[in-house]
Amino acid sequence: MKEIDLYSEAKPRYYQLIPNKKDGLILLALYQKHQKQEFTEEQIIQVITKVLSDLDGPNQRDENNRNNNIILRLQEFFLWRDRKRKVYGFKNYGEEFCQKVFKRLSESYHPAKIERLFKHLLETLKTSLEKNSAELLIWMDDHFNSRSTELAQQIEILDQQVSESVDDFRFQIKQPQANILQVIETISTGLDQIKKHVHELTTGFQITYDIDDILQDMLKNTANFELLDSINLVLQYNQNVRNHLDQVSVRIDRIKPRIREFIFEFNQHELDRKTDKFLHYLLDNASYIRQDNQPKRFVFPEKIESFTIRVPESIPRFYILTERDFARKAPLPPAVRSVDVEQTEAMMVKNIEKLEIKKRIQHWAKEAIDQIEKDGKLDFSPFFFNILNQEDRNLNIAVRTAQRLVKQCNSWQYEITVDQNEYHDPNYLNLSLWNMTILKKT
Amino acid sequence: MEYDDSEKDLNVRYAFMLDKTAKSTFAKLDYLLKSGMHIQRDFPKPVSLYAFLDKNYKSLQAYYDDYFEMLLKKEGDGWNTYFYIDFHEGSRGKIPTDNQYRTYLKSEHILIGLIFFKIYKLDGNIELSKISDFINLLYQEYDELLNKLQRVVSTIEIDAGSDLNEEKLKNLVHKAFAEFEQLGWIARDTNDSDYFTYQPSFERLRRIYYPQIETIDEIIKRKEHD
Repeated sequence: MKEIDLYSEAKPRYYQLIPNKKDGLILLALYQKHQKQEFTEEQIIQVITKVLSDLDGPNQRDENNRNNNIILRLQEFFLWRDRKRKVYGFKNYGEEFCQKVFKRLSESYHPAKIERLFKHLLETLKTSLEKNSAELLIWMDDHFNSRSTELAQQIEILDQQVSESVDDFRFQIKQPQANILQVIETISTGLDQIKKHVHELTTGFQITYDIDDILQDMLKNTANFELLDSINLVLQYNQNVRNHLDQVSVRIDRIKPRIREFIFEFNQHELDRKTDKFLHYLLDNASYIRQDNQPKRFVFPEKIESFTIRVPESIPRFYILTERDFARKAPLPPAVRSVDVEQTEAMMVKNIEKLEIKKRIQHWAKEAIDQIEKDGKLDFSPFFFNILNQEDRNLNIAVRTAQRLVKQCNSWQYEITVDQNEYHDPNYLNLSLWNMTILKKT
Repeated sequence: MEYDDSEKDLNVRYAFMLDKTAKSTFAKLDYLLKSGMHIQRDFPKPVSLYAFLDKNYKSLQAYYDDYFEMLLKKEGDGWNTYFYIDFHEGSRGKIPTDNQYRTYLKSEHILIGLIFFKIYKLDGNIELSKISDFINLLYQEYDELLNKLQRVVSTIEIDAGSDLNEEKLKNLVHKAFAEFEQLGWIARDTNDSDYFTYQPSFERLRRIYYPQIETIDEIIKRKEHD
């Protein structure tokens, strides 16, 4: 193909290449009537008159000038004229144009055909790969590439049908005499039909998964790595068509409930007309006012006010204080405390014992002091062994009583004297004490 | 309404309190209603809010009337039913408030709302579900509305934003839609705020102006006469 800048080449000749609506419809009508046969200028003018009166209403004046211009325009690319014989025919470009439109419109959706196409693709792929894996490229050239557009088109047709339904809906509800219920009913049924087609197509497209499986298996073999791009291309294509099909279905699902909303508002044409008028009235007559140094405010014409949407005072406001450390702490798990009964009892016995000893020490200390107070002095050594005797030889009590006494009597009231002669008791041969005497000072 | 304050009568008048879902639903519902939210089947979630309202409408209405002098209203039919508190006619006294502290829907937002309503509802653009698509559609197919709207936008003072009209318009539309979401007139996609779903209560915007809309022909005539 010769390299040309399509944009700048087409720009000046756009309307010769792509006809405007009127010209285009005239062309199509001509093609419908004469196809490959030749026709006269008279016949072209007949078609022009017919098309224009259909588009713009009857009572069109015969305008030679206008007709002439149209015919001249069309001759640029679409029609040829034999000067000698005074006849016209379609140029190649014109014929292609009309045929393309014809093909696009006459094509309809064929689920059986889709299934056949895919089955064919799958089978040819299998046969090709039986020879060797490089045959994939030939398969793509011979079968896949030529079919893929056709398959994608089938989905496009469905998508197109949805668009047409929506456009039709928009058109119908604007009609002054429209029976909204009828319109909604028709459109809904139409959409259901399309949905059914989508479902049928989905079944047909199941075969793409089989193709995917075969190709994915090929990917496991390192020998096929050079085919990677081609394999990906096919996988991608399959993925895309399936997605596209899904989207059509999703689109219908979204539209249907919205159409349903209209059911409750039929016979509102008068209201709708007035609403439209009201909107324009507001847009035309709204103005700005500025009050007391406040920013400019946009207001509607008199008697039309804005409306209260909330009263802030009626909304409870919560001030939520979060203290950081407090907030951050995770809740502590409850400490599991168990009571060791045995240990507690043992401890209690010990403590009672200690208390008991303490009581005895207090008792003996008091006894000693009492004696000092009474006799003016106490010979501590015999007193010590007396304690031992009475307290079941408990040295602990006797020693701690001595300790306590020394502490208690270490003041100006008493005097403690110790001579270093040892005092012995015959019952306690391994024990000896220095003679200690406590005197009360007078 | 006169009613007896015997326990039996109160149980009937405020029956919603005895509803077993009241404990889990009422606080949120009350907060939303007082915030100006319109509540319908699909929005706001959860559906239990709508179900509770639908089931207990009469007694809730009595409650708001008796204790707040607020008017709980129900509009629309079937699937299009929605509930809201009408602050316009209601709230006559129980909530201490000064008129100047009421929040009004800004006039420019009302205009955006009405334009959207026309394009979506009156013109049947039912596939419209993106704010950006709405703005594009205005530019592509609604020359006249756009020009008139731009007159409004060009003089408007928007706190932050560009001087460019296009930016201003976009800002304004986005602010308006944020307000509509607060009112429950549209629901926005939580993942992509450009996406929205039209809600039946959007009709309220038109309902408010029914008296003026019904008499628009006379209003215009009078205006021309003056």
